[in-house]
Amino acid sequence: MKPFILTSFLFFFAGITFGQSFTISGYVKEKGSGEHLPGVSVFVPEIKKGTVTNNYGFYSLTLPQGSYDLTFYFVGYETLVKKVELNQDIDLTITLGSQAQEIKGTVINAKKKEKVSEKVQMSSIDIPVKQIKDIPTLMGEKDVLKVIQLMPGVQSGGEGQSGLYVRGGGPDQNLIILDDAVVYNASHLFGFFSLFNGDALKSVELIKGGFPARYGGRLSSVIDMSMKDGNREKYTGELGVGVISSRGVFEGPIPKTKGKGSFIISGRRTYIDILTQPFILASTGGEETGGYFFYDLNAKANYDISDRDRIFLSGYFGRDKFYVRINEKDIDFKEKADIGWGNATGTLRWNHLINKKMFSNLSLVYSQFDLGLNSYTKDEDEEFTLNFGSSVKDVSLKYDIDFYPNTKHTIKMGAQSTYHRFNPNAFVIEGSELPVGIDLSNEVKAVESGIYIEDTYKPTDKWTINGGIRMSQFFQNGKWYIRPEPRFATSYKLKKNYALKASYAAMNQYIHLLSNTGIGLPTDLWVPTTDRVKPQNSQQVAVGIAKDFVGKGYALTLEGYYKTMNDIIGYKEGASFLATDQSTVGFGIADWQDNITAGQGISYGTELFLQKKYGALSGWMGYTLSWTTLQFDDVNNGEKFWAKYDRRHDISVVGIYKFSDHFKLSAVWVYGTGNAISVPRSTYTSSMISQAGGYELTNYGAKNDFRMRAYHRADIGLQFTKTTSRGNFRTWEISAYNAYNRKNPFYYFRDTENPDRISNSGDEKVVLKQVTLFPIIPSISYSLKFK
Amino acid sequence: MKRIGIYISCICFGLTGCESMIQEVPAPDEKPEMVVSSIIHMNWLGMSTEISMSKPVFGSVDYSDYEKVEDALVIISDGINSDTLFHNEDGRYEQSQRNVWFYGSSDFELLVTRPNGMQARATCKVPSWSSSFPKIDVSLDSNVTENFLFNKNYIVKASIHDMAGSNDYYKINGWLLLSDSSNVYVDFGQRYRVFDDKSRDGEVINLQGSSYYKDGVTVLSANISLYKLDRNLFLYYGALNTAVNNFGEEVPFLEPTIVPSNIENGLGVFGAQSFYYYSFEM
Repeated sequence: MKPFILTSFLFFFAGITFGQSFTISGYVKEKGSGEHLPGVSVFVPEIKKGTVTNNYGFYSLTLPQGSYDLTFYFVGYETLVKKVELNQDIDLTITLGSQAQEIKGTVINAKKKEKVSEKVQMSSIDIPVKQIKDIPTLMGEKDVLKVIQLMPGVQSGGEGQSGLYVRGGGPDQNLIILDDAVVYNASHLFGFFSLFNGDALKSVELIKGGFPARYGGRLSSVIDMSMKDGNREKYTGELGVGVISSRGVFEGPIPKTKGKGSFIISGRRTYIDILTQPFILASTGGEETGGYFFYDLNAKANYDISDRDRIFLSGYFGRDKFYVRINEKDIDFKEKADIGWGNATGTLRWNHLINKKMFSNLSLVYSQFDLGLNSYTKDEDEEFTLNFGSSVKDVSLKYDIDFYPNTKHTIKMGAQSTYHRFNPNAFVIEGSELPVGIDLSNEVKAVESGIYIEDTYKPTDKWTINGGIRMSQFFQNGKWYIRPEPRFATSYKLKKNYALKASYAAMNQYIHLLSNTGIGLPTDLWVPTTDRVKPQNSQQVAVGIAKDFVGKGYALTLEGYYKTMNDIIGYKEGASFLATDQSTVGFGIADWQDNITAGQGISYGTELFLQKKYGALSGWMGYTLSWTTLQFDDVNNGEKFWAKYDRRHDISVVGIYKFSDHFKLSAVWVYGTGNAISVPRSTYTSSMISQAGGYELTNYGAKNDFRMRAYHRADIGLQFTKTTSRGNFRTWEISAYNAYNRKNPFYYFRDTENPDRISNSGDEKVVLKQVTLFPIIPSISYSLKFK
Repeated sequence: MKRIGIYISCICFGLTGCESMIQEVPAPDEKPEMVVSSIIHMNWLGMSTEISMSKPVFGSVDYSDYEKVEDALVIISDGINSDTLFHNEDGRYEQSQRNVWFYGSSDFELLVTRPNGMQARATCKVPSWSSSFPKIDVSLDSNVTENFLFNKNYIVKASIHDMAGSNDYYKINGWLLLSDSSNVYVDFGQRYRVFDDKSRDGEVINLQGSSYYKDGVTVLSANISLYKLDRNLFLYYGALNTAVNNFGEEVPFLEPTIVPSNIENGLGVFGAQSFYYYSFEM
């Protein structure tokens, strides 16, 4: 009810202040598909006023009566200038063509520009979705998260991993949103591939700091992704065949809706298991088989109920599965084991245009992540079943309003409430030899809510402020947490195309990921804040400059940040969910709260980002200089230590050169200081160690006081595109991951070597060894885009 | 242009698998250090100290036993008075004089010096023992499971009523006295079962252990030893439980257990403990 009271107030506010003005509003769509475009600048150069389309492509500008040249520009699209006589409210929906298309009749000025110096938001990057397909990747699998890892301030967990470590934060501190639905585990195959292959994505925004008040619930980053709506004008599609997977996309207008609705469906499946199965069966005489696969399915549909109302239904479903089957008939032995994990999300949204200045969206969201391990064994007459599972399931209701009272203010406000159900370790054992089954399911329920309001205010032409506050709340088992989260960002133009920026954000995180590997495995457990485990919270300040080199297509940002994180949690020394014992608190139920410790983290650094957004050569260069330390009461003797992913230097260079419409060359080079790890230093013993049941202990020195070797590699890709006789496009891509075959560290271990193994007469020596995962990996893929 | 791609592909495939994916890298250079295991026992107002030497992991394999240090000068000091410990027949260092007495809330320093100049130092703040030990309730459940030896399993439930106002670190042991005059150990899950009252100060802390017994035998009494530890010892014991069964090196991504040490220029622990014995007739 609160939003409606606020809405009424804002109606009144708008009415008394701007009675002499008129409003021009509408949507910006993409030519050829009818996709609504978010983030398009709508600007009136003569009065230096403007706005930006929201996530649904809607804009609203209230101006005094007059004649204006309304300019619409968006990177990758031709700029469009429309003359308007504003003597009444106007509905104006615009269609923008991409740079490759010709927009006859309407284009007056075709300058291509998008300026970082004009954005008030700092520490945010719009990921160039169209470039994702051009960037060479591991085994040719196009991957949004791998591209995000190439941005300054973002580090990968290790070789091939898709986990994100943003400004010293852990992988659980990233709010990954797909069409308003939170995605809990965004990776396949233990992190080597992400869920998002880019085919179905419309926009991806990465925010590392200065978070607007509309976002909350995580400390370190927001990755806000929107799926494509689907082509409203014609049926199109794309099929791709790669080394390990095939994928397909199909989109078009919903039949019999007269252009009022569209859909898109995309899918991907790996086929390693299908290819290897015949060999496994042959080698085991048909008694054993097994394999691994993952798949993704994205689907979305939208329909215009009226000029003011539009509904969307979208969903994602993906799963990984390892399986083993053994059937030895001669000894009557059967074994069947499956490990599966996956995400499922569903979003129902209703866009409603309250009036020309006010746009609303209501979302009902379902999100789930679950892990299941099921094992069944039959040995003659004995049967044994073991099922382990963990899951988190959310149902959310979210209501947002965008209000454009005048050109000085853009107000966003809303509320969200999420009902969480956690099941950290459902464990069931049944066996014909056991007197009773054991069932340790322990579901935990919690409610997380937030209300927010933010205003983007332009006091002068040079100065912009985004201020806001979010009140977050968490309720679990009778314990309430209510915390204010102030947010502030400002931008001041020192010169034309040159701005000074600053931001501050306080964040709270009420759900935590328990991991003692730190690499984001599906076995990691999501657990809630409780009366014993406080919410994690962070404060971050950032200052920086943004400079546009207009005409050359370059944009430069330089930012410094300082972030403190409090009450972050980790396992106590040596504890893990594997080690939860039945003796801990809460009779009969293992309690993860006894195995964790709370601590603090500090991260600070500088990030340089030079981007070339268009032209024959496009790409970017990022450099990060940073320090990240952690401190927990019960870890490392309570002393500070380097975070595993503390990275002093991190460099990424991405270049895409378009020789012609038929041939593109792309290259990536990355460099990162080695991970901080603990390696064995010495061994020792004592009577206390003997009493604990051991012979000797290994001394690892201080935690994470040893550095792996630096990581660097180059990837190269070539794309050949040809138009077929039917007007379709077919593309061959040849790429090489780690092109100069750098032996990057994956993990270290100690090994004993005997220099004279044959006679066994040499002195044995213990050495430290490095395992490299990926040498140079060539790949080839083929795709056919039809229209 | 097509040929370029073909050539690159051939080179890529050619390079793959040329070299091993495992290689030796420089290891940290570590010297042997003194390992000090020293505990102040508040119940008998004494201390026991054991000193040995560590062996570096990397380099030539050393199959000899760990060196026991018998020639060290070991001094315990309370800041005003000091005692030089002597090395006894059991291989431990003990107090001979009584210049230093152990009181709650006091600071002590241990200084270990070898003739070769090696020196290790540690400090320990003995927690206040003035407050009485917490009340404990114990109950038993039986017949929960039956194992393959036809023994039955007692579940021992202990509720510790923590006293508010201080950070307490505990260790618990337990055993059952049976009707056939034998004792059976209560397994609280870990060899050194430690816990603290952080975030549960002043609350009831529930623990559960198990103990096997044979059919037809009854339990006469449940016996619990509750130790109060100083923080150094608490952290040391806690890490020791998992470190002795450390899988950290076998599983590449599992974080190794790092056993903390409060010994400067050395390894091990210098801490303090006190215990209270509870017996419950069943």
